[in-house]
Amino acid sequence: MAFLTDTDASYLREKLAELLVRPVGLRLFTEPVGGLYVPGRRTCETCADAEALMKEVAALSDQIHLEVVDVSTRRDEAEQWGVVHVPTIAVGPGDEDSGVRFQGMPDGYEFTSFVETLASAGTENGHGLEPETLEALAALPAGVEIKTFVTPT
Amino acid sequence: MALASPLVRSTSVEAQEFPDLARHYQVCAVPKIVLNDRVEFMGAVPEAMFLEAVLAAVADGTEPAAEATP
Repeated sequence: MAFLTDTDASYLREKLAELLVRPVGLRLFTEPVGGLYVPGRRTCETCADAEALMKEVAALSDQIHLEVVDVSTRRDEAEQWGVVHVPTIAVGPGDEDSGVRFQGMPDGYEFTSFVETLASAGTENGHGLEPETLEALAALPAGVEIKTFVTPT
Repeated sequence: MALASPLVRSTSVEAQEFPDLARHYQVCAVPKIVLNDRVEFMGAVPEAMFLEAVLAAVADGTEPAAEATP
């Protein structure tokens, strides 16, 4: 089943061709669905959908590069990227870890934020922040971990 | 902000898919924003106010604790 309609896909293809001036990396951390049922262990209900959606998104532009990381076999990579939950999608310019993550399936309204983030990552100074904000961020004395809780509706 | 600074990391968490996390952070409406597990607010705010919250989150200069693997 396709997540994007033909109309949405062609609109996005056109928009992304216009907006993306550099490569964007999507790194989807996932785990295989099915297999052995382990009582008490939560299976990933949205991993397969997230992978299908990311494949559709990656097909929209040559500038988008998708890497699917199976955390059951590539645990070191998940640790290196600080990924604890699946599915998690890291978005960044090129292969860089920008610190931007989407945890869970980015559908519904969240898909809009996802595409906007993708477009920002593919644009020089795509963050769109004011100079005062950039100045303050450059002087941060410590790291900041932002969690934004959202729902698809 | 995460795209603009290597010190800022930003995760958007789908609350319905991760009910344990949503419960832990007492999410009863969205969007709810939590910074370094110590500053939180609801809804979209202007950039200057968001920056104030970021600065408040690092006011004592300590790093956030890494999330434990379940």
